[in-house]
Amino acid sequence: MFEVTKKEAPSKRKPFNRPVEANWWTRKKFYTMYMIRESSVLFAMLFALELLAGMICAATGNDTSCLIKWINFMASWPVKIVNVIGLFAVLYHTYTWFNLMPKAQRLMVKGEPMPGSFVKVALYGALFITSLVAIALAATGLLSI
Amino acid sequence: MADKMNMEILRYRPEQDEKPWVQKFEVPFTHETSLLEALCYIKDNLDGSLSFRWSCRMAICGSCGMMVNGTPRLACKTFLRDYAGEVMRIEPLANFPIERDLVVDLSDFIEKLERIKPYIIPKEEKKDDEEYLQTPTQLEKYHQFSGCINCGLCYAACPQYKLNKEFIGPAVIALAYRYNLDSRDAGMKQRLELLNQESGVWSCTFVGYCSQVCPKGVDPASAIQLSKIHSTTDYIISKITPGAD
Repeated sequence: MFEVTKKEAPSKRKPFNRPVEANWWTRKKFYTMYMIRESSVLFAMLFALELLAGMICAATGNDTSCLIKWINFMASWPVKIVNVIGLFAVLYHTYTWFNLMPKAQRLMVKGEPMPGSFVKVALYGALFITSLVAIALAATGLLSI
Repeated sequence: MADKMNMEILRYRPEQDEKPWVQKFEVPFTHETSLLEALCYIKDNLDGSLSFRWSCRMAICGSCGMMVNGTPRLACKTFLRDYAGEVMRIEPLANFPIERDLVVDLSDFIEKLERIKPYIIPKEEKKDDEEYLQTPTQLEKYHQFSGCINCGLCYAACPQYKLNKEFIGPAVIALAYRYNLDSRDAGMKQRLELLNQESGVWSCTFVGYCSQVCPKGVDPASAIQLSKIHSTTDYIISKITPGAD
């Protein structure tokens, strides 16, 4: 009878893990646009903070000095420029978000998947109507002053 | 008359190399030459030591995924004619450890795939002669997500997986979603245990590149967002019905 002795060859495996570079998102346009999309929310946050400061000032009772300071701050050119950039950033964020929404909202009608444009049209419609309402409210507010 | 393609291929031989390096080749090609054929040409004629994985040559086995000029692609579904006049830079699939040359270690993906139970878990076993029936409408619900060939391209495209290897990843969630939607399946509760975790659906920030690179037209980004709805619903139900199993 032969006895087979099995010799295990030492493994030559040495898996190499490639390092993650800090600028990975600049290597591909898709990733860069994603980073711009995500960072556009910083401008929205900034504007929300500005509004919050205004509301806090408005709520400080009879003393209007805080509110006047806030109005002057909002009317200053650096703040105006930042807010105009912010407006475009938020519009871009909205555009990219509406483009992605059909993936997160799958509509099936009579067992058939509906094209993504259905969701997009509904979103743009809702944006249009809420914008109209907001503008109408702002206009009536201004008229009553 | 064949044109010539300049190719740069990332090489890594674990027994000799400390880190990967680039080797250049000049490969003749015609209108029909695929990248896989070009690699076979190199192995047969220029350097027999080049390692890469392949099998079916028709985009169904999912073996030949690699980075082509920084984009995850199947070598058999990539044609040199589309890169005429450029240099083709071929690297192993990103975000996975390099085993040798263009071969990567996909064990992490395979292990995660097993964990979500990518098979039908019926509510009750039927007898041998009984069938699990399904209507075309029920099939349509998940059909889009059933085309996955486990090639791993979506993992190479995912920045979240790049930064956090705990993330269960696009293909695995797409398959979990596919079985969760299947009318014959009753295993959603078991799969949600994994999907509900931070390393499950909630690690995804909807970059969306996974769906762009999928060679089979599956939409993992969509499956993940829709699984977030499953996960949220499960959370709310667990809150309003405490103690329920």
